[in-house]
Amino acid sequence: MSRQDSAADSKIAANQALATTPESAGVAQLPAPLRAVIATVCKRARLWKHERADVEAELAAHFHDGLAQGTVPEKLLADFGDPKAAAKLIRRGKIRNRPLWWQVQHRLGQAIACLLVLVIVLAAIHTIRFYTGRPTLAFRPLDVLNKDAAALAEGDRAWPEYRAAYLALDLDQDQFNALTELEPDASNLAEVRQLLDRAAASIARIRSAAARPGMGYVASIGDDEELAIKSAILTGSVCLVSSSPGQMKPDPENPEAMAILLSHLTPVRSCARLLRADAIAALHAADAARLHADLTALLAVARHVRSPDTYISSLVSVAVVTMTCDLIRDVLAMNPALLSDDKWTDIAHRLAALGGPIDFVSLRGERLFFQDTLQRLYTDDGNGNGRLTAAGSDYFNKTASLGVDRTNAGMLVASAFLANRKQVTQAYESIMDRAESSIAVPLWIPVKESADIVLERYTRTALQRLRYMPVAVFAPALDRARYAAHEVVSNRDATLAVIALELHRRRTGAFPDAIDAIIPGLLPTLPLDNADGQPLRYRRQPGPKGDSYLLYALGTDLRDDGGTPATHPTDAASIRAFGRSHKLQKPCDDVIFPRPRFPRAAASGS
Amino acid sequence: MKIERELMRGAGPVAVLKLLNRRDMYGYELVEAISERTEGALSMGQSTLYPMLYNLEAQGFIEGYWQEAADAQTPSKQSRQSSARDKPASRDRKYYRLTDKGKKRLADDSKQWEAVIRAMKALGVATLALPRSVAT
Repeated sequence: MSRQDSAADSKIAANQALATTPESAGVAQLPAPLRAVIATVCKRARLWKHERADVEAELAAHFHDGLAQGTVPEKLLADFGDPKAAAKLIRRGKIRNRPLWWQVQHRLGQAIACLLVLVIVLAAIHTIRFYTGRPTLAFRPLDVLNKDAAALAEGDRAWPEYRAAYLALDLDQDQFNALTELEPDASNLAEVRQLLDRAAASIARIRSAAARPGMGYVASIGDDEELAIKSAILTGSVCLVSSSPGQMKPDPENPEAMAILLSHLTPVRSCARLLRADAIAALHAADAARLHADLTALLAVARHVRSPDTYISSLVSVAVVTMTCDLIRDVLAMNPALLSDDKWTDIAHRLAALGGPIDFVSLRGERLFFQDTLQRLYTDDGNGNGRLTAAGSDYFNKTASLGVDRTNAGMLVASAFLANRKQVTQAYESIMDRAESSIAVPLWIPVKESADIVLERYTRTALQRLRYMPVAVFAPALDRARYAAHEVVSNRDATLAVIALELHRRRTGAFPDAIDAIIPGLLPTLPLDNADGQPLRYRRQPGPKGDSYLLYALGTDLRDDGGTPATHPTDAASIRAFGRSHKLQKPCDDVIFPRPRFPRAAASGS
Repeated sequence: MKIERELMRGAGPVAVLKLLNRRDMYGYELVEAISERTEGALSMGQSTLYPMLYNLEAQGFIEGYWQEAADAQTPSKQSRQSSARDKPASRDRKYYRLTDKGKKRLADDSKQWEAVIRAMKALGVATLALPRSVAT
């Protein structure tokens, strides 16, 4: 038998002996003070029954031995020491003798209890911090958005003129639609001319507004009722652009960026459509001065509407530039001689001055909106960091109404997992930085990690979405911004090439056999195809009015179909719209010149 | 002379192990023996001794067992003031014995104490020769 076995057997024997601790320990025969000490020790030691019996018996035996030796009870009591301290130490010693399963369970219980206490303490601290924290408003988004307008003198502001022109329009919805949906090959020009005559004063005022240096729109949170009523009459709907949810009452001292109304966008866009209709009328009337005035006014509107600097303003500007470029190419197809070299050169310079992709689509406004949201959600430690507050939680609930029930208590719990202000800012800025750098990358060069992929990285799992909740809720899908910027720049550059080709024809008497004849004299560089980065495909060919050419891009199917134009408006849109999955009804290319025309039924059907 | 608590914490268990190395003993006997053999230097109250015994037991250095004590007398109710006149009666005591593990521990501790005492003597802290009873 090994030494360990022997020890184990001895232990078992000892335990059996303990289990049968005799009741004849003689406690009852001890003097009362000694009995009291034993009782105190056994009671305070809080032991198991057999442990208690063992200790009781041993102490009783001890005192009996003392008495047997002639020691008086007082002396035994004094020698014994403090019963409370003895109980504590005896408990500790006996607990160490308990079985392993009990020790493990005991330690586990202690650990769980400690953990529970820790969680309760942390939760209490977190709750106090959550309810006592106050957001610090460090800036007024309204001031930032209105900075450009504030720098403009009253007389330099275009918006009051646009507004007055819009309000003065004496048209109903059908009449307004007839003007804004007018196509250069329309057959109802006589009717349109009458409507344009009725709107002549407004159109003149729009041109006057376009001639002013800046937009000068002063954003606010107040509804412009006159504009709302006029928009309802002309478009059949009230359209005051703001992302503010209905349940949010704006802060009158420092209005939330989300509550700021961009009520100028719909009227200005309508003004641009009126200018376009007037330009078409001028084209048919062969009124060069009026046509030039309308085209330059359209480009001025596109520039004006970029201010205040918001993403949605950028998209309105893109829409105005797109409609202007399409119109310019129609003019060059239908009556190329109408405008003089100087006028075309002037228009070309104005087009070029609109800038590159990053100038067309600005994300500065988005960053402003998000920073404003953060300053209303979080505290501010002065170093860009902070924590979610109860007030911020209320604000979040009011603004992020996504059909999810977010009670304040729920937000309190959620805030324990929420990234701090600095981390959320970094996540959002990394998404926006990626979006901006992607906008500068041509479409034919793949972007390894787009803004939407970066966003997805922060919101992939439920825990990540909780951790970066403000980013998940407020960050927009931004990949579309890149495509929008390049589509409009492509359209603009192609239109510049079409103007340059016309100027080349006037100087040489014929269109060139190869497109590179227009560089560098008329154009610094050739326009490139979004599909492959190659120059746009050009082929000189006769047209209805003699010498002409075909200019086209491969389009979204990346296939050269020899310049086959789309036969349906949806195909014409699809072949140009990179980043979207559209199935073409028939193979085609993105024909830039001459612009494909569609039967009226097909166009209206689209 | 009473020993400081911290010193007692180290010396007490070794003293108990040393006493049990000779023969099995019960609590009161241990208290008396320690007090007598150390001339009161390592005297300890029962509130110290019994927890120490339970700890040594938990560590496996000693083990306890109950045994009838033939020599023991239980004092009668009438004569608690004078145990000498009591009628002898049989009762149980809990004895402790040293385990193999305890013996090894005692050997290790003894070496360490000797080293400490030599060091103290070398430093002039301890100048007296070891009492024969402790040395053996």
